[in-house]
Amino acid sequence: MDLLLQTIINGIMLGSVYAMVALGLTLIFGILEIPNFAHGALYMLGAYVAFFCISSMGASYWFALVISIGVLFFVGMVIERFIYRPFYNQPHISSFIVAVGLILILENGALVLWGADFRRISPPSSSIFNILGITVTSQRLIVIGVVALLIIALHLFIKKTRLGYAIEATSQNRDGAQLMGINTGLVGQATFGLGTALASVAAVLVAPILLISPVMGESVIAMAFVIIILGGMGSFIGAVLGGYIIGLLETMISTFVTSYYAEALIFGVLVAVLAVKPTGLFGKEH
Amino acid sequence: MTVKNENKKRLIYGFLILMAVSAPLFITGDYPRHIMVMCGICVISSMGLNLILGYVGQLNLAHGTFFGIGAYATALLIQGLGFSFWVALPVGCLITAILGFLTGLPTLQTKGHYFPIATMCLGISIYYVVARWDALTGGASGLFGLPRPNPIPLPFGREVAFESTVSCYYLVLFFVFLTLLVIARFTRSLVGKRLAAIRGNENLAQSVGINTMRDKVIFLSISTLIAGLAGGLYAAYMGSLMAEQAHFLGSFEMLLNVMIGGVGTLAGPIIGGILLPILTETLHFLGGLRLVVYGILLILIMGFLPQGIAGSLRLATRYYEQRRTAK
Amino acid sequence: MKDALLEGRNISKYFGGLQAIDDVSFAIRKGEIFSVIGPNGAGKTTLFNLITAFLPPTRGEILLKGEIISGLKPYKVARMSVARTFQLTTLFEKNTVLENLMIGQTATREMGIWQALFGGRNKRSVETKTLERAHQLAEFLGLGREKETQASLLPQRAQKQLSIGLAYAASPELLLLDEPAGGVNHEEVNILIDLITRIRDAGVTICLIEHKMSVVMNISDRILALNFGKKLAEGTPAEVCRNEEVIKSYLGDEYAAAC
Repeated sequence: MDLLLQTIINGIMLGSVYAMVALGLTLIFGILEIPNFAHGALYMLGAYVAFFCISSMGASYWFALVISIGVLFFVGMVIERFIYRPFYNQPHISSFIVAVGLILILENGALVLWGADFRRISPPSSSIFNILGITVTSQRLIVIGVVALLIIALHLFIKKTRLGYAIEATSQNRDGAQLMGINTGLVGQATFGLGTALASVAAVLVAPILLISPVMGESVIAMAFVIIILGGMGSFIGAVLGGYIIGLLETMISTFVTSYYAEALIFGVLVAVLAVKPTGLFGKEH
Repeated sequence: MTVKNENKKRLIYGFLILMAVSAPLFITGDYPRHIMVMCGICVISSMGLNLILGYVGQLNLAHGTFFGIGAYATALLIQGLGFSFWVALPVGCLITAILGFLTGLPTLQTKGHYFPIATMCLGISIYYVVARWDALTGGASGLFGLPRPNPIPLPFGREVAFESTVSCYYLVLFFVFLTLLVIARFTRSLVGKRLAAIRGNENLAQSVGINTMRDKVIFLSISTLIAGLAGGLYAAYMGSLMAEQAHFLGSFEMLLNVMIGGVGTLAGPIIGGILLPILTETLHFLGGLRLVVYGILLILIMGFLPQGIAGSLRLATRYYEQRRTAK
Repeated sequence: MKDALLEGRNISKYFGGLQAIDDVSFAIRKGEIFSVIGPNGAGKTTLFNLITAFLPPTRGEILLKGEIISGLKPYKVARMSVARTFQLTTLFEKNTVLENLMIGQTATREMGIWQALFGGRNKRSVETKTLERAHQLAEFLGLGREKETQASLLPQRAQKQLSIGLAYAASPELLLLDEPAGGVNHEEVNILIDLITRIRDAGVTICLIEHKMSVVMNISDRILALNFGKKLAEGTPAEVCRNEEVIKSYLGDEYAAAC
């Protein structure tokens, strides 16, 4: 029973990470209609930026988080404007290949700068809580709590603010939004930055628990794609729900079935679902 | 194409074949010859990727993974089941092709981005499976102690052995020619036109009665078979394997090959496949930075020379010819 | 209908809540030129997409020579001798005129992997014949001088001709043309009409979507009039012109003038 509770908490925590990453990915896809393959590498970059702030500049954890968000937001905007945008009027495959180039640069850049070994960020607080008979570190609660707050904040942002409205309009009908006077180019750029920033939040939040390495983005991006394909590419709720569900699923499988092949099994689920319903569970037909 | 041009082309091809066959006479020293073998293997793998990417128009981001599958399959058949190389290689290729087929069935159905995404996910998960399945694959430390291919008996009690690097070079070269021949047969036939249709506009291809799904899956299987062939040759030549060989990083390097060489051309993967191992050697001093350079190179190629070297040459000759006939 | 080549029975198509086609029945006779008219959004292209199986009908059936074809895959319907063009001129842009005309032929879609790899004299003869036929088709279409031109570099009129030729290359029994005269000027329209009649004379049944009323009234044997996805009338040009529903719905000088 204790093990089950522990697993559930870990599952929700992992799910929070996935939800945040998938949300960023789906936001970007909704507007630009290309899957951002480099998302995992940018997630990784977010963690290393924070690591650099803490280890080389002695910043506090929270300060490093804020810096990481800012840097990644900026990097995301730059990437959209100078690396992806030149290829918009080409077939999608060109964007994919360019993304591969980005991944090579980012992953190996991190490898060169910080080495292949796992790096650690100390959590801001080492308190331990006792919930329902099991011990939970504060960092896990921080991950779950911060992500939940951010999801709510993001939802409000999209529904209640002008920029959020512009984002939603552009993602539903780019030409229509342009006719309404929305600067779709800028909106696209900002959305890319936002999506990237969300990924960095997830990375920094989970870094004290799961450690940092140049390839940390790989399995995360694979899962994120599984999530948004299942939940519907471009769907906010699909990414969030899918994130939590897959996080729980993976943790359950890892703990109770096999720790080695949980990812492969989930990938198998993706294949099975795709074979039956090619647009995912909540998909928009793009 | 005028007769004079045809003959000119034949001369060039003949000369290139002669160069390839006689290369070991000019290139001496074990290490350069080793690079030549690696170039050959790289060329084969690149031709496989070029087939699915350049001719069918689908981006298989797990191509390197299929290379690894072929390598491990061949190695395990030799080491675990005691097969001779000459049996293990074709069986390994078949296994890889079947896996490619199974990958293609669910993922090539929907038009759009699912195939690259699915192959990326596949590449990542299979790498982790290979790296962790210690009992089967030796995990992260891999397999070693693979013997070279058994000697081929010849009449009069002689034989062709494969202990030397040069002999392996000729073995690989044989498969390079074979693969090239097969691909050329396809692309120059009406099947090649069909692939051009699928690559150009899948809906339109369907509307003229082309069963696009069938061709996509078949050619993905052929392309992965070729990757598996390259992998099997690699395993037998190197004698050892590590999980790294099944990492999809290999896919990225293959992609760079194909794009630099010229995607969608016959010569492109040959140029790229020769270039990359040489580039890797010369840039070795950069360490990890080398891959950063590759990434930058890939983006630059996409932006400024998307047809690659061979593609640009082809455009240039076409332009030059049209200007001459216009006069 | 007895000698119907293509029949639609009570076809409806919904996109979510939007009703694109509402209970439409029609029949196309062998050898005739059958036109589908109606204002933008009336459901004409949707009807084509249903016939060629690019969309499945929500209700109803489509029958080709008495066999139900609705629900099949698009390439299967194409192989049953139904060919089409698209409203937005769609070609294999990076290929030449000749290559386009080779791709459209049945020999191309039928060549097997084995034959491509191992075929000898047989394969060569098939390929030679396909190339020859592509040359003939190019002449037939009036594109004799542009054979080696890349499709995307052709002028609009030639692109329209080529797209018709691409569909005709497989020797279909039924040819669906979606606005073949769209975006071309007056003289060019006549060239296209000539091409369409020549194809009809070669024994092909033609179904046409066209806005230019003069063209429609001129060459059609029978007409199907749609509006808001519903069928208004089906019959000869004279019958359709007299039909009250049609007169009520189609306001506009062009229509009145053509009738």
